[in-house]
Amino acid sequence: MSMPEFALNINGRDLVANVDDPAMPLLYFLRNELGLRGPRFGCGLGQCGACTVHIDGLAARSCVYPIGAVPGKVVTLEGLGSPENPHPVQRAFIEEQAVQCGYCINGMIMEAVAFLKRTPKPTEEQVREALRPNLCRCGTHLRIVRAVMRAANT
Amino acid sequence: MQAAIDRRVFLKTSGALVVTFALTPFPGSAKPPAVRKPLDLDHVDSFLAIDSDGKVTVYSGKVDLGTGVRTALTQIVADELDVPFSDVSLIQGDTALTPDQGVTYGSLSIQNGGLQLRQAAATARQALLQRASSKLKVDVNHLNIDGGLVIGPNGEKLPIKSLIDSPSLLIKIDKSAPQKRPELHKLVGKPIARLDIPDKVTGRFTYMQDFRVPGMLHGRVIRPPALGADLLAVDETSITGIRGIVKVVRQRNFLGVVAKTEWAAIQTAQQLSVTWSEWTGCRTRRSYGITSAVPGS
Repeated sequence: MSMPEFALNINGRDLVANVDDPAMPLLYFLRNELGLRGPRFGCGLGQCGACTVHIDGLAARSCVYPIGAVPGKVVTLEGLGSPENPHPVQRAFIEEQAVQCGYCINGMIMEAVAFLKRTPKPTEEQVREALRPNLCRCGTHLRIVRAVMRAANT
Repeated sequence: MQAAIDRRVFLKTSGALVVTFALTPFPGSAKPPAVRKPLDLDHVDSFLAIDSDGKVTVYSGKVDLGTGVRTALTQIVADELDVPFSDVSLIQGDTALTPDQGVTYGSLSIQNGGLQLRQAAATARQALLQRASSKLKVDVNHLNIDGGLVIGPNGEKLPIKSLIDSPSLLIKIDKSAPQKRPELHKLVGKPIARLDIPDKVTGRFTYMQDFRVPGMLHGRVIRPPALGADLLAVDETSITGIRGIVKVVRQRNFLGVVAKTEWAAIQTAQQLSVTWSEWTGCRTRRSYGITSAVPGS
Protein backbone atom coordinates (compact mmCIF):
# COMPACT_ATOMS: atom_id res chain seq x y z
CA MET A 1 0.00 0.00 0.00
CA SER A 2 1.71 3.15 -1.17
CA MET A 3 1.10 6.41 0.57
CA PRO A 4 -0.94 9.04 -1.24
CA GLU A 5 1.11 11.98 -2.43
CA PHE A 6 -0.06 15.53 -2.75
CA ALA A 7 1.71 18.40 -4.45
CA LEU A 8 1.45 21.48 -2.28
CA ASN A 9 2.77 24.99 -2.25
CA ILE A 10 3.33 26.24 1.28
CA ASN A 11 4.61 29.78 1.85
CA GLY A 12 5.92 29.88 -1.71
CA ARG A 13 7.70 26.55 -1.51
CA ASP A 14 6.68 23.61 -3.69
CA LEU A 15 6.68 20.29 -1.90
CA VAL A 16 5.18 16.85 -2.02
CA ALA A 17 3.29 15.61 1.01
CA ASN A 18 3.31 11.89 1.67
CA VAL A 19 0.49 11.18 4.08
CA ASP A 20 -1.25 8.05 5.34
CA ASP A 21 -4.68 9.55 4.96
CA PRO A 22 -5.90 12.20 2.49
CA ALA A 23 -8.61 13.11 5.02
CA MET A 24 -6.00 14.25 7.52
CA PRO A 25 -6.57 17.94 8.20
CA LEU A 26 -3.93 20.25 6.75
CA LEU A 27 -3.08 21.58 10.25
CA TYR A 28 -1.32 18.37 11.31
CA PHE A 29 0.86 18.41 8.24
CA LEU A 30 1.82 22.04 8.73
CA ARG A 31 2.63 21.66 12.42
CA ASN A 32 4.02 18.15 12.68
CA GLU A 33 5.66 17.59 9.30
CA LEU A 34 6.79 21.11 8.47
CA GLY A 35 7.29 22.31 12.06
CA LEU A 36 5.29 25.49 11.49
CA ARG A 37 4.09 27.23 14.65
CA GLY A 38 1.78 29.90 13.28
CA PRO A 39 -1.30 27.75 12.80
CA ARG A 40 -2.45 26.37 16.13
CA PHE A 41 -4.79 23.66 17.34
CA GLY A 42 -7.59 25.23 19.32
CA CYS A 43 -10.89 23.40 19.09
CA GLY A 44 -10.30 20.99 16.22
CA LEU A 45 -13.81 21.80 14.99
CA GLY A 46 -13.24 24.90 12.89
CA GLN A 47 -15.01 27.00 15.50
CA CYS A 48 -12.31 29.09 17.19
CA GLY A 49 -10.04 30.21 14.36
CA ALA A 50 -6.65 29.49 15.95
CA CYS A 51 -5.70 27.21 13.02
CA THR A 52 -6.50 29.71 10.25
CA VAL A 53 -4.33 29.76 7.12
CA HIS A 54 -4.81 31.21 3.65
CA ILE A 55 -5.63 28.94 0.76
CA ASP A 56 -5.41 30.93 -2.46
CA GLY A 57 -5.73 34.09 -0.41
CA LEU A 58 -8.89 33.08 1.43
CA ALA A 59 -8.97 32.37 5.16
CA ALA A 60 -9.49 28.65 5.79
CA ARG A 61 -9.69 26.57 8.93
CA SER A 62 -6.82 24.12 8.60
CA CYS A 63 -7.97 21.91 11.49
CA VAL A 64 -10.89 20.67 9.39
CA TYR A 65 -9.48 21.10 5.88
CA PRO A 66 -8.52 17.68 4.43
CA ILE A 67 -5.02 17.80 3.02
CA GLY A 68 -6.19 15.85 -0.01
CA ALA A 69 -8.64 18.62 -0.89
CA VAL A 70 -6.29 21.61 -0.75
CA PRO A 71 -6.80 23.24 -4.14
CA GLY A 72 -4.09 25.86 -4.17
CA LYS A 73 -1.36 27.82 -2.52
CA VAL A 74 -1.18 27.80 1.26
CA VAL A 75 0.18 30.72 3.25
CA THR A 76 0.66 30.60 7.00
CA LEU A 77 1.49 33.30 9.55
CA GLU A 78 5.18 32.62 8.89
CA GLY A 79 4.60 33.36 5.21
CA LEU A 80 3.31 36.87 5.90
CA GLY A 81 6.37 38.32 7.57
CA SER A 82 9.06 38.00 10.21
CA PRO A 83 9.95 39.88 13.39
CA GLU A 84 12.59 41.68 11.32
CA ASN A 85 10.24 42.41 8.44
CA PRO A 86 6.65 42.10 9.60
CA HIS A 87 3.57 42.30 7.38
CA PRO A 88 1.69 45.60 7.93
CA VAL A 89 -1.00 43.77 9.89
CA GLN A 90 1.59 42.01 12.05
CA ARG A 91 3.26 45.38 12.64
CA ALA A 92 -0.07 46.92 13.65
CA PHE A 93 -0.62 44.09 16.16
CA ILE A 94 2.81 44.81 17.66
CA GLU A 95 2.15 48.53 17.78
CA GLU A 96 -1.21 48.09 19.48
CA GLN A 97 0.25 45.36 21.76
CA ALA A 98 -2.82 43.37 20.74
CA VAL A 99 -1.69 40.10 22.27
CA GLN A 100 -2.04 38.64 25.70
CA CYS A 101 -1.18 34.95 25.59
CA GLY A 102 -1.22 35.11 21.80
CA TYR A 103 -2.69 31.70 21.15
CA CYS A 104 -5.54 33.07 19.01
CA ILE A 105 -3.46 35.73 17.30
CA ASN A 106 -2.52 33.60 14.32
CA GLY A 107 -6.21 33.37 13.45
CA MET A 108 -6.89 37.02 14.13
CA ILE A 109 -4.08 38.11 11.82
CA MET A 110 -4.76 35.60 9.05
CA GLU A 111 -8.47 36.42 9.10
CA ALA A 112 -7.75 40.16 9.16
CA VAL A 113 -5.28 40.03 6.26
CA ALA A 114 -7.75 38.14 4.08
CA PHE A 115 -10.53 40.51 5.12
CA LEU A 116 -8.54 43.67 4.44
CA LYS A 117 -7.70 42.39 0.98
CA ARG A 118 -11.37 42.43 0.03
CA THR A 119 -12.30 45.37 2.27
CA PRO A 120 -9.32 47.74 2.33
CA LYS A 121 -11.13 50.59 4.12
CA PRO A 122 -13.46 48.94 6.60
CA THR A 123 -15.55 50.47 9.31
CA GLU A 124 -14.95 49.27 12.85
CA GLU A 125 -18.29 47.50 12.63
CA GLN A 126 -17.10 45.56 9.58
CA VAL A 127 -13.90 44.56 11.38
CA ARG A 128 -15.89 43.28 14.34
CA GLU A 129 -18.14 41.30 12.01
CA ALA A 130 -15.17 39.85 10.08
CA LEU A 131 -13.47 38.67 13.27
CA ARG A 132 -16.65 37.50 14.97
CA PRO A 133 -15.86 33.80 14.31
CA ASN A 134 -12.41 34.13 15.92
CA LEU A 135 -12.29 33.58 19.65
CA CYS A 136 -9.86 35.14 22.12
CA ARG A 137 -10.16 33.94 25.68
CA CYS A 138 -7.81 36.51 27.19
CA GLY A 139 -10.03 39.37 26.11
CA THR A 140 -7.76 41.45 23.89
CA HIS A 141 -10.61 41.95 21.38
CA LEU A 142 -10.60 45.73 21.70
CA ARG A 143 -6.89 45.96 20.97
CA ILE A 144 -7.27 43.49 18.12
CA VAL A 145 -9.95 45.64 16.51
CA ARG A 146 -7.74 48.72 16.97
CA ALA A 147 -4.82 46.89 15.36
CA VAL A 148 -6.86 45.95 12.29
CA MET A 149 -8.15 49.51 11.97
CA ARG A 150 -4.58 50.79 12.32
CA ALA A 151 -3.40 48.44 9.57
CA ALA A 152 -6.26 49.58 7.33
CA ASN A 153 -5.38 53.23 7.88
CA THR A 154 -1.67 53.01 7.19
CA MET B 1 19.61 12.78 30.73
CA GLN B 2 23.24 13.77 30.25
CA ALA B 3 22.23 17.11 28.82
CA ALA B 4 20.16 17.96 31.87
CA ILE B 5 22.97 17.08 34.24
CA ASP B 6 25.41 19.14 32.22
CA ARG B 7 23.13 22.12 32.51
CA ARG B 8 23.06 21.81 36.26
CA VAL B 9 26.80 21.91 36.54
CA PHE B 10 27.87 23.96 33.57
CA LEU B 11 29.25 26.84 35.51
CA LYS B 12 32.85 27.88 35.28
CA THR B 13 34.79 28.18 38.48
CA SER B 14 37.84 30.10 37.43
CA GLY B 15 38.60 33.21 35.48
CA ALA B 16 36.92 36.55 35.39
CA LEU B 17 33.51 35.24 34.50
CA VAL B 18 32.71 33.90 37.91
CA VAL B 19 32.05 36.63 40.37
CA THR B 20 30.37 37.11 43.64
CA PHE B 21 26.84 37.02 42.36
CA ALA B 22 27.66 36.31 38.78
CA LEU B 23 27.85 32.69 37.88
CA THR B 24 27.89 33.15 34.18
CA PRO B 25 25.28 31.35 32.12
CA PHE B 26 27.41 29.75 29.45
CA PRO B 27 26.23 26.22 28.70
CA GLY B 28 28.67 23.93 27.01
CA SER B 29 31.70 25.29 28.81
CA ALA B 30 34.84 23.37 27.85
CA LYS B 31 36.24 23.48 31.37
CA PRO B 32 35.19 20.80 33.81
CA PRO B 33 32.25 22.14 35.71
CA ALA B 34 32.45 22.00 39.46
CA VAL B 35 30.01 24.48 40.91
CA ARG B 36 26.29 24.09 40.90
CA LYS B 37 24.30 27.18 40.41
CA PRO B 38 22.48 27.86 43.67
CA LEU B 39 18.72 27.54 43.51
CA ASP B 40 17.71 28.45 47.04
CA LEU B 41 15.74 31.57 47.84
CA ASP B 42 18.39 33.10 50.08
CA HIS B 43 21.15 33.90 47.63
CA VAL B 44 21.46 36.56 44.97
CA ASP B 45 23.14 34.03 42.70
CA SER B 46 19.96 31.97 42.62
CA PHE B 47 18.17 34.83 40.91
CA LEU B 48 20.79 36.84 39.07
CA ALA B 49 24.02 36.63 37.14
CA ILE B 50 26.03 39.51 35.75
CA ASP B 51 28.60 38.57 33.18
CA SER B 52 31.87 40.28 32.34
CA ASP B 53 30.12 42.39 29.70
CA GLY B 54 27.72 43.71 32.29
CA LYS B 55 24.80 41.75 30.84
CA VAL B 56 22.35 40.48 33.40
CA THR B 57 20.65 37.11 33.38
CA VAL B 58 17.59 36.67 35.57
CA TYR B 59 16.52 33.22 36.74
CA SER B 60 12.82 33.27 37.42
CA GLY B 61 10.86 30.41 38.89
CA LYS B 62 7.68 32.24 37.90
CA VAL B 63 6.81 31.70 34.27
CA ASP B 64 5.06 33.85 31.71
CA LEU B 65 1.87 32.06 30.77
CA GLY B 66 0.82 34.85 28.48
CA THR B 67 0.35 37.60 31.01
CA GLY B 68 3.51 39.50 30.14
CA VAL B 69 5.44 38.85 33.35
CA ARG B 70 8.60 38.10 31.42
CA THR B 71 8.61 41.73 30.37
CA ALA B 72 7.51 42.98 33.78
CA LEU B 73 10.11 41.00 35.76
CA THR B 74 12.77 42.20 33.34
CA GLN B 75 11.64 45.78 34.01
CA ILE B 76 11.88 45.26 37.77
CA VAL B 77 15.45 43.93 37.67
CA ALA B 78 16.72 46.40 35.07
CA ASP B 79 15.28 49.27 37.06
CA GLU B 80 16.62 48.11 40.40
CA LEU B 81 20.11 47.58 38.99
CA ASP B 82 19.96 50.66 36.77
CA VAL B 83 21.12 48.78 33.74
CA PRO B 84 19.60 49.17 30.27
CA PHE B 85 16.42 47.11 29.78
CA SER B 86 18.00 45.45 26.74
CA ASP B 87 20.94 44.21 28.84
CA VAL B 88 18.68 41.95 30.90
CA SER B 89 17.55 38.54 29.71
CA LEU B 90 15.31 36.23 31.64
CA ILE B 91 15.35 32.45 31.95
CA GLN B 92 12.08 31.16 33.30
CA GLY B 93 10.88 27.88 34.66
CA ASP B 94 13.95 25.77 33.89
CA THR B 95 14.05 23.89 37.17
CA ALA B 96 17.75 23.11 36.77
CA LEU B 97 18.51 26.81 36.77
CA THR B 98 15.68 28.71 38.40
CA PRO B 99 14.76 28.84 42.08
CA ASP B 100 11.47 27.36 43.21
CA GLN B 101 9.39 30.48 43.74
CA GLY B 102 6.20 28.51 43.97
CA VAL B 103 3.61 27.84 41.32
CA THR B 104 2.57 30.48 38.84
CA TYR B 105 -0.99 31.35 39.78
CA GLY B 106 -3.17 33.74 41.70
CA SER B 107 -1.66 36.92 40.26
CA LEU B 108 1.39 36.32 42.46
CA SER B 109 4.17 36.48 39.86
CA ILE B 110 4.74 40.20 40.35
CA GLN B 111 3.74 40.64 43.97
CA ASN B 112 5.72 37.65 45.22
CA GLY B 113 8.14 36.64 42.48
CA GLY B 114 8.81 40.20 41.44
CA LEU B 115 9.58 41.32 44.98
CA GLN B 116 12.02 38.45 45.49
CA LEU B 117 13.81 39.46 42.29
CA ARG B 118 13.78 43.10 43.32
CA GLN B 119 15.43 42.36 46.66
CA ALA B 120 18.04 40.17 44.95
CA ALA B 121 18.75 43.02 42.54
CA ALA B 122 18.86 45.56 45.37
CA THR B 123 21.41 43.38 47.17
CA ALA B 124 23.48 43.10 44.02
CA ARG B 125 23.29 46.83 43.49
CA GLN B 126 24.48 47.42 47.04
CA ALA B 127 27.39 45.03 46.54
CA LEU B 128 28.38 46.72 43.28
CA LEU B 129 28.34 50.12 44.94
CA GLN B 130 30.44 48.87 47.83
CA ARG B 131 33.03 47.53 45.41
CA ALA B 132 33.00 50.77 43.46
CA SER B 133 33.38 52.64 46.72
CA SER B 134 36.58 50.84 47.63
CA LYS B 135 37.93 51.15 44.09
CA LEU B 136 37.21 54.85 43.81
CA LYS B 137 37.82 55.62 47.48
CA VAL B 138 34.49 57.37 47.57
CA ASP B 139 31.81 57.02 50.20
CA VAL B 140 29.20 54.56 49.01
CA ASN B 141 26.43 57.04 49.69
CA HIS B 142 27.83 59.35 47.03
CA LEU B 143 27.71 56.73 44.32
CA ASN B 144 24.93 55.96 41.93
CA ILE B 145 24.32 53.58 39.06
CA ASP B 146 22.97 54.72 35.74
CA GLY B 147 22.87 52.93 32.43
CA GLY B 148 25.21 50.20 33.65
CA LEU B 149 27.78 52.69 34.97
CA VAL B 150 28.63 53.55 38.55
CA ILE B 151 28.73 57.33 38.73
CA GLY B 152 30.82 59.13 41.33
CA PRO B 153 30.34 62.62 42.80
CA ASN B 154 33.09 64.10 40.63
CA GLY B 155 31.91 62.55 37.43
CA GLU B 156 33.81 59.29 37.89
CA LYS B 157 32.40 56.55 35.71
CA LEU B 158 32.98 52.90 36.36
CA PRO B 159 31.28 50.28 34.20
CA ILE B 160 29.51 47.59 36.21
CA LYS B 161 31.48 45.00 34.29
CA SER B 162 34.72 46.34 35.78
CA LEU B 163 33.40 45.44 39.22
CA ILE B 164 32.72 41.80 38.70
CA ASP B 165 36.12 40.15 38.66
CA SER B 166 36.35 39.26 42.33
CA PRO B 167 36.82 35.77 43.61
CA SER B 168 33.73 33.62 43.80
CA LEU B 169 31.63 34.08 46.89
CA LEU B 170 27.96 33.70 47.39
CA ILE B 171 26.10 36.79 48.50
CA LYS B 172 23.15 36.27 50.76
CA ILE B 173 20.12 38.33 49.95
CA ASP B 174 20.13 41.29 52.29
CA LYS B 175 16.58 42.09 53.29
CA SER B 176 17.69 45.52 54.39
CA ALA B 177 19.47 46.40 51.14
CA PRO B 178 17.75 49.62 50.14
CA GLN B 179 15.33 49.42 47.24
CA LYS B 180 14.97 52.25 44.81
CA ARG B 181 12.36 54.75 45.85
CA PRO B 182 9.29 54.46 43.58
CA GLU B 183 9.58 58.03 42.33
CA LEU B 184 13.01 57.18 40.92
CA HIS B 185 11.76 54.28 38.80
CA LYS B 186 12.56 54.68 35.15
CA LEU B 187 11.10 51.40 33.84
CA VAL B 188 8.69 50.10 36.46
CA GLY B 189 5.28 51.63 36.03
CA LYS B 190 6.09 52.83 32.53
CA PRO B 191 4.62 51.32 29.37
CA ILE B 192 7.18 48.99 27.81
CA ALA B 193 6.57 46.97 24.65
CA ARG B 194 6.08 43.30 25.47
CA LEU B 195 9.14 41.21 24.62
CA ASP B 196 7.19 38.22 23.37
CA ILE B 197 4.78 39.88 20.96
CA PRO B 198 6.96 40.14 17.81
CA ASP B 199 7.57 36.38 17.94
CA LYS B 200 3.94 35.64 18.70
CA VAL B 201 2.58 37.55 15.71
CA THR B 202 5.03 35.90 13.32
CA GLY B 203 4.85 32.25 14.37
CA ARG B 204 8.28 32.18 16.02
CA PHE B 205 7.20 31.80 19.63
CA THR B 206 7.53 28.36 21.23
CA TYR B 207 4.41 27.37 23.10
CA MET B 208 4.31 24.15 25.08
CA GLN B 209 2.39 22.57 22.21
CA ASP B 210 5.28 23.34 19.85
CA PHE B 211 7.87 21.16 21.55
CA ARG B 212 9.10 18.34 19.34
CA VAL B 213 11.64 15.70 20.24
CA PRO B 214 13.20 13.16 17.87
CA GLY B 215 11.08 10.07 17.51
CA MET B 216 8.19 11.66 19.36
CA LEU B 217 4.99 9.64 19.47
CA HIS B 218 1.49 10.99 19.95
CA GLY B 219 -1.12 9.83 22.42
CA ARG B 220 -4.78 10.33 23.16
CA VAL B 221 -6.79 9.31 26.20
CA ILE B 222 -10.16 7.64 25.69
CA ARG B 223 -12.56 8.84 28.35
CA PRO B 224 -15.43 6.87 29.86
CA PRO B 225 -18.95 8.09 29.10
CA ALA B 226 -19.80 8.48 32.77
CA LEU B 227 -18.04 9.00 36.06
CA GLY B 228 -18.54 5.53 37.46
CA ALA B 229 -18.20 3.54 34.25
CA ASP B 230 -15.89 0.53 34.19
CA LEU B 231 -13.93 -0.51 31.13
CA LEU B 232 -15.39 -3.86 30.10
CA ALA B 233 -13.98 -4.62 26.67
CA VAL B 234 -11.80 -3.18 23.91
CA ASP B 235 -12.11 -4.48 20.36
CA GLU B 236 -8.82 -3.77 18.61
CA THR B 237 -10.11 -5.15 15.31
CA SER B 238 -12.06 -1.88 15.02
CA ILE B 239 -8.86 0.03 14.24
CA THR B 240 -7.02 -2.32 11.93
CA GLY B 241 -7.31 0.07 8.96
CA ILE B 242 -5.43 2.92 10.63
CA ARG B 243 -1.74 3.26 9.83
CA GLY B 244 0.80 4.24 12.41
CA ILE B 245 -0.75 2.79 15.55
CA VAL B 246 1.91 1.85 18.08
CA LYS B 247 -0.10 0.64 21.03
CA VAL B 248 -3.42 0.54 22.79
CA VAL B 249 -2.70 1.10 26.46
CA ARG B 250 -5.09 -0.33 29.00
CA GLN B 251 -4.57 -0.16 32.74
CA ARG B 252 -7.68 -1.06 34.72
CA ASN B 253 -10.16 1.67 33.74
CA PHE B 254 -7.60 3.80 31.95
CA LEU B 255 -7.55 3.56 28.18
CA GLY B 256 -5.25 5.37 25.81
CA VAL B 257 -3.68 5.02 22.40
CA VAL B 258 -0.18 5.75 21.14
CA ALA B 259 0.57 6.39 17.47
CA LYS B 260 3.34 7.60 15.23
CA THR B 261 1.33 10.58 14.04
CA GLU B 262 -1.07 12.87 15.84
CA TRP B 263 -3.78 12.23 13.27
CA ALA B 264 -3.47 8.48 13.69
CA ALA B 265 -3.80 8.89 17.46
CA ILE B 266 -6.90 11.05 17.05
CA GLN B 267 -8.51 8.64 14.60
CA THR B 268 -7.70 5.63 16.72
CA ALA B 269 -9.20 7.25 19.79
CA GLN B 270 -12.33 8.06 17.82
CA GLN B 271 -12.74 4.70 16.12
CA LEU B 272 -11.70 2.26 18.80
CA SER B 273 -14.68 0.17 19.81
CA VAL B 274 -14.95 0.22 23.59
CA THR B 275 -17.55 -1.22 25.92
CA TRP B 276 -18.09 0.61 29.19
CA SER B 277 -20.43 -0.39 32.01
CA GLU B 278 -23.67 1.49 32.55
CA TRP B 279 -23.73 4.60 34.70
CA THR B 280 -24.37 3.56 38.25
CA GLY B 281 -24.34 6.86 40.02
CA CYS B 282 -21.54 8.64 41.78
CA ARG B 283 -19.04 6.50 43.58
CA THR B 284 -18.02 7.02 47.13
CA ARG B 285 -14.44 7.58 48.14
CA ARG B 286 -14.50 4.18 49.80
CA SER B 287 -15.38 2.43 46.53
CA TYR B 288 -12.14 3.78 45.09
CA GLY B 289 -10.26 2.28 48.00
CA ILE B 290 -9.65 5.67 49.66
CA THR B 291 -10.00 5.24 53.38
CA SER B 292 -7.84 8.01 54.80
CA ALA B 293 -9.64 10.47 56.97
CA VAL B 294 -10.29 13.74 55.22
CA PRO B 295 -12.16 16.52 56.97
CA GLY B 296 -15.68 16.66 55.66
CA SER B 297 -15.59 13.28 54.01
